[in-house]
Amino acid sequence: MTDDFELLRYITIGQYLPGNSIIHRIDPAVKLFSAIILILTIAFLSNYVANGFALAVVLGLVALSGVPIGYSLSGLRPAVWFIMALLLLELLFSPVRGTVLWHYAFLHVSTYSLRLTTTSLLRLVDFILLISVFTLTTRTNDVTRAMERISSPLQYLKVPTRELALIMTIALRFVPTFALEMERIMKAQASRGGGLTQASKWNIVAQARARLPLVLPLFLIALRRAEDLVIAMESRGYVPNQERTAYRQYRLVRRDWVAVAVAVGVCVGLVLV
Amino acid sequence: MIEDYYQTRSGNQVDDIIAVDHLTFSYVEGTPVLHDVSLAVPQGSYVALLGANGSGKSTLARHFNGILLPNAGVVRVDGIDTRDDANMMAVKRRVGMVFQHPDNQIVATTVEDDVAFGLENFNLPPDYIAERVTIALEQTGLLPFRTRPPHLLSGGQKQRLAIAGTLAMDQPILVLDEATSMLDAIGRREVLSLVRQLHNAGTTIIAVTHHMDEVLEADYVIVLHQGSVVMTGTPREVFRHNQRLHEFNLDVPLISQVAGLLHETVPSVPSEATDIEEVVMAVLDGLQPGPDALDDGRDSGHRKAEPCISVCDLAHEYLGGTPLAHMGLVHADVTILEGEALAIVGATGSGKSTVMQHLNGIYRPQSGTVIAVGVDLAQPTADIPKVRREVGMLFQNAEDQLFEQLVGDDVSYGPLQLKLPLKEVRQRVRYGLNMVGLDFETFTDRPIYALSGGEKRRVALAGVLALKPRVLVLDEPTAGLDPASAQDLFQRLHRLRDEGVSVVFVTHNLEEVLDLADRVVIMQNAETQGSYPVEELIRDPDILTQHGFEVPPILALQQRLRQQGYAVHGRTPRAVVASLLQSVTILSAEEPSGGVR
Repeated sequence: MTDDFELLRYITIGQYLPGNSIIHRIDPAVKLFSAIILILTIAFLSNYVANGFALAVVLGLVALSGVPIGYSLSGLRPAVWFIMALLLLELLFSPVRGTVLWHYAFLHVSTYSLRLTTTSLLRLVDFILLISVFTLTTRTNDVTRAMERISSPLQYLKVPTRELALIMTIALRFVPTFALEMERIMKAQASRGGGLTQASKWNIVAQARARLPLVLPLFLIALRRAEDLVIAMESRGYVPNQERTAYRQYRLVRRDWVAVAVAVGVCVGLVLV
Repeated sequence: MIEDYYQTRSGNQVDDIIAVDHLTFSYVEGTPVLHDVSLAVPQGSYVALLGANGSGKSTLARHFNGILLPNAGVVRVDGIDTRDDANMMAVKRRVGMVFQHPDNQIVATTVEDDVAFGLENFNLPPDYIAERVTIALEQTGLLPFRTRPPHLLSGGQKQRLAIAGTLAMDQPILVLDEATSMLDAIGRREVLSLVRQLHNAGTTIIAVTHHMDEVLEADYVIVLHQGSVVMTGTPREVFRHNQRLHEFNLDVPLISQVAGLLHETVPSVPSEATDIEEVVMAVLDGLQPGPDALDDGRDSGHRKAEPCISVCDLAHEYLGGTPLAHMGLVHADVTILEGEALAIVGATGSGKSTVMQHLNGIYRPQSGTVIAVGVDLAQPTADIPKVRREVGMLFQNAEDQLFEQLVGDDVSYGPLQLKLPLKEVRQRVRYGLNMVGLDFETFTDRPIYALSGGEKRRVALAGVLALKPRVLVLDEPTAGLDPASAQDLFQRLHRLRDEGVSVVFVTHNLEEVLDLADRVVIMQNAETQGSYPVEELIRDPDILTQHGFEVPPILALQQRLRQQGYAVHGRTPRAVVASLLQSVTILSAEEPSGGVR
């Protein structure tokens, strides 16, 4: 019952778990770069062996980082039925190739569709774990700074990378604030009898109407906060697109170069398998 | 680069660091928010800008750093006209702003990055920024929280962070726009002492407020009413005009109220006194303590009332089972009696909101028991709808939770959820609005956006009352309201209590406790520290000190007077003065002793 109102429980993005593991200490941009190339590589792996190997690497990273595995997977929980449905569709409706293992009317499970489904599931788990390890071991502002640094070459193409990074920072900065705000609105409407009379799950109009008392106030609060924030930023001398210095300076050390080398090595290895 | 930055700091040596000359401003043409305002702020002074909600004080504050520009008239900051585009950054460079809502002015995701934000905007070299950030964090006592994300700071710490941002930029002017109004007593003390420290170091302070005790910190007060300056002077001079301030929906500090009332009977008491000792001295001079006429049989609270909610040995852990788990409540015992007004007081993080949210089953007990209106909330089969119906709960900033366009529709949300017949719903809406003093016929079809902040909060309360609760629970019901709206709200609560509704309110303001509560539960470090009848606190304010509270001035005054042999006992200035005058002989100095007029 209590869990119904604890929204922070479900928000693992934007949370940081303090720690001093090797993963915590690697330069954020290096971490992000490694995570990206690993994700891209894993996305193209199609056989069992390579995927198994990838999962082992990812689990190794989780172990190194000291992040509880259950907690990093808890971000999946709200979507778990949706994912199951998708996987089931993939299993039953993929083109029939290889040996057919089971069939009923127009439904077929072949070795090909089984492989496709298994690798999809493994990939998904890999992605979630990699992203969690990255976000849970990296402070949110380091995340955005890392994005900024990795994308900084795009500046030459007139992409406003600093502005985008600031937008990201502010978005992440307000995730917990809005979660708490939403929690308060939910509790308040529940106290006024909201959610006591339940419309059928399939009565979409009634369901949407029932959400209105939650969504509308949050929307208004967000607008007002945004207005306040703009005034506060302007007061502190912020002018969009004006030249700004950066307080944080980063210098790569040996550990970071080793990390990059290992990441690239693993990716090449995976592709070769 | 740094030299340039510093040159812009003190280019012009002017006496009045801010000068406003015939300023007129309107957001929408034809309805001026500020009307022909002229004022001057001398360098290094501490000015309080006082006004009720809607008086235009925040709008005026936003002219001081060029966020808003005058429609007519001139605003000069350190001699620079704010309308001069070329000098925009020079104005921002000089004026630091701290706003009301702590959360809405923090940009970065860690404390140190946020302090650096302003300096980055002025394009200063990273080494220099790092140096300034450290100095600012040291001076504001935030150094230990350097890498903490802002949502894990207390309200007081967040505001100190905002001040650290201006300190890092070494700004000569600091404007506080109701910067303490969302803070608890401890947070306010933190911020005020920091501001005092800055003022002593030479910073010019402009504090926009409607807190009278904060006004006492200032050298000079400017009172704003409906967009015009209506009074100016030292705090003493301003507080002398009790009656006029009341017309402006403002209040005077309770000590000044006592002094003013005493002055009516004993003219030798200065009506503008703001200090406890000053009142005590005047009383010593003018009044002779008489035999103790205090009838101790006034304890009328001997109605044998039944408990309607009892909380026993309750504990609560937040985010249990995750790495972020923490105990929100270690131990709580609370009993709420039928028909009483109970206050739960404590600092932020003392667990008072956690206890509160157990009272109507928002949270279910993880350990310990909560029995609310006869329902054991620990049972999985507990009748939660009944509890929600009978224990009404008003959350903080309740006006934020309104979602319909029209007042009547929003108030009817609860009754409609109960599936009551439409006629009954209408009746309930009428009852709810009536109880908060809003006329049904005039208000039910009024759009919510057209209401004032105080009215919106009353509509939210009406929405809870429309469920006809037996117990009403309120979390910080007056936070963010101006004194007039807050007083009005408390009058409604008095009436509800008189009609037999138990009223439970969570607050950090002890003056509100004195206003309404029969009993008070004190919370500290996530534990209840026992409950006390309010009458006992009046007799022995040291109980408050023992629990880390500052004794409210009105109780401190009574304690001082009792030490001098006067029999005095009361919750309000009026009651205090009445009890004092009952037991004394008025010494006739040169004044004719007219007795009680």
